[in-house]
Amino acid sequence: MSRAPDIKAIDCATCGAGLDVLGGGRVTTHICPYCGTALDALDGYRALKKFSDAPRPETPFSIGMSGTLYGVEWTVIGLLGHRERWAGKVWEWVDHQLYSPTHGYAWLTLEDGHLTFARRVRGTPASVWMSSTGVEASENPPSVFHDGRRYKYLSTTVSTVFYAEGEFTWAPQFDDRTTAISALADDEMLDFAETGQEREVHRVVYLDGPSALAAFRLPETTLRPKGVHPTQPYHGWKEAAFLRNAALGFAAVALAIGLILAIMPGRLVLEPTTVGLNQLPRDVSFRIDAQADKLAGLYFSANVSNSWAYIDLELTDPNDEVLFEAGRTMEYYFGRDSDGSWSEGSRSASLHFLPTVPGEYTLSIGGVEQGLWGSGGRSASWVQVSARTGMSSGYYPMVLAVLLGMLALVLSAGSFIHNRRRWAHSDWSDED
Amino acid sequence: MSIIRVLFLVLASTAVAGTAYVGWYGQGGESFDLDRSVRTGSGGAFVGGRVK
Repeated sequence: MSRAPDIKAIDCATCGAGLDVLGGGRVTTHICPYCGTALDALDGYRALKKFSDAPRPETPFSIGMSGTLYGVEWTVIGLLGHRERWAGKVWEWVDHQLYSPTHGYAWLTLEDGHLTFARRVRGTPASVWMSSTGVEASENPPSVFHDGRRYKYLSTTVSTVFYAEGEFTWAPQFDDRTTAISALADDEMLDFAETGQEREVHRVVYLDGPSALAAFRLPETTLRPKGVHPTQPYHGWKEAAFLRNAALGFAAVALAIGLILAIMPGRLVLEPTTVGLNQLPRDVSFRIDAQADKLAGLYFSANVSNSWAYIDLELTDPNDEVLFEAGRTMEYYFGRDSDGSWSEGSRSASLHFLPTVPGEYTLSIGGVEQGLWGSGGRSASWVQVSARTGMSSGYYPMVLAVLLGMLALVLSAGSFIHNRRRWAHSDWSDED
Repeated sequence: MSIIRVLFLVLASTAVAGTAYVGWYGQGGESFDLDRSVRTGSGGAFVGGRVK
């Protein structure tokens, strides 16, 4: 059954106010905005009952306004005020019923200054559904897949209608409870609601506020959105994604270069030479002729056993000038306890330096200090020294890789924080 | 391509090439303690009670 299609205006059966009839043939109820009387559109607009005396919720949209969204001209034909109370908090939002003679019905929702647009999705398979009982029984936030998108559970909303005016395709009841489950994808949301025997799925997308207001010929600054809406897309710096990806790419290249340089072995210029610790002090010479402008390394090992040995070192360059003084400790401890065998420390040590000129370098091993650990310790009796040159270092490329990685993180932070704020609307708790 | 992208690509390429160049010659790989004594604090881990 549907109302007569040629009716363009009626008078309220209670207060006599003239009311435009804007909706299509599926409209069943018309609520007078002046006196709140619900009129039966299927039975000559006779008065059914008074809806409520609740004040009209704040919205810049009013019945009869038209605007073009997604290339379709929509007219506001109805307005519903919803309220949800939970844990001492109250949320309110306004649903505007939209009608297009060519595209049917849709919803324009205003909440916290954010505007969303919702249309019913018909013909979804049974798998595209979430129920309260299913959510409560789930150990993890449930998901559904639809049109190539994954929608993850966001929240369950139990709301009541506290205000209604205009035309509707059903009969809104004051204080009627509606339960809707929302599941969120990257850029849109699905709402699941069960009314009587019918399951309804609505697809909700975010509207750019100023553009939507302009579409309805309202000032673009009318709304002041608070916080981040779950469906709100991230509008960061337009270059951020490119720079982040480029920074990650360069970081990977710098890291690879650093690793390659770090493992380049160079060339042995001093074969392992053993020096008795009772022969100290002693000089060991080696030549650096080729690649004297690259990194060189000195490598030491000693036969420490549950003991330590510290050696004094001095390197003299071919001009007989002291290049540096240093010292190295070799220490190695081992044993067995309730956890099994253990060991720590190392019998080896090394140092690296940049040669000044080609020629013969002299390493002076000046003296040694030693110590034992426990009764089983044994003092070192010798130290072995060798030298390499023509080496590279991965230090600066790796530092650059870290810096570029940090830059990529900073460039991703905006999107990350925005996403966290979207999902902050979720009522899922792992502790339940 | 925007000037910011071009600038970033040029700077990042230069930085990678520059660090690779100095890294090839071993810059950054020198030991940090070559011009000072490390005797203070030496004496092995067990002196400080750090051995297991």
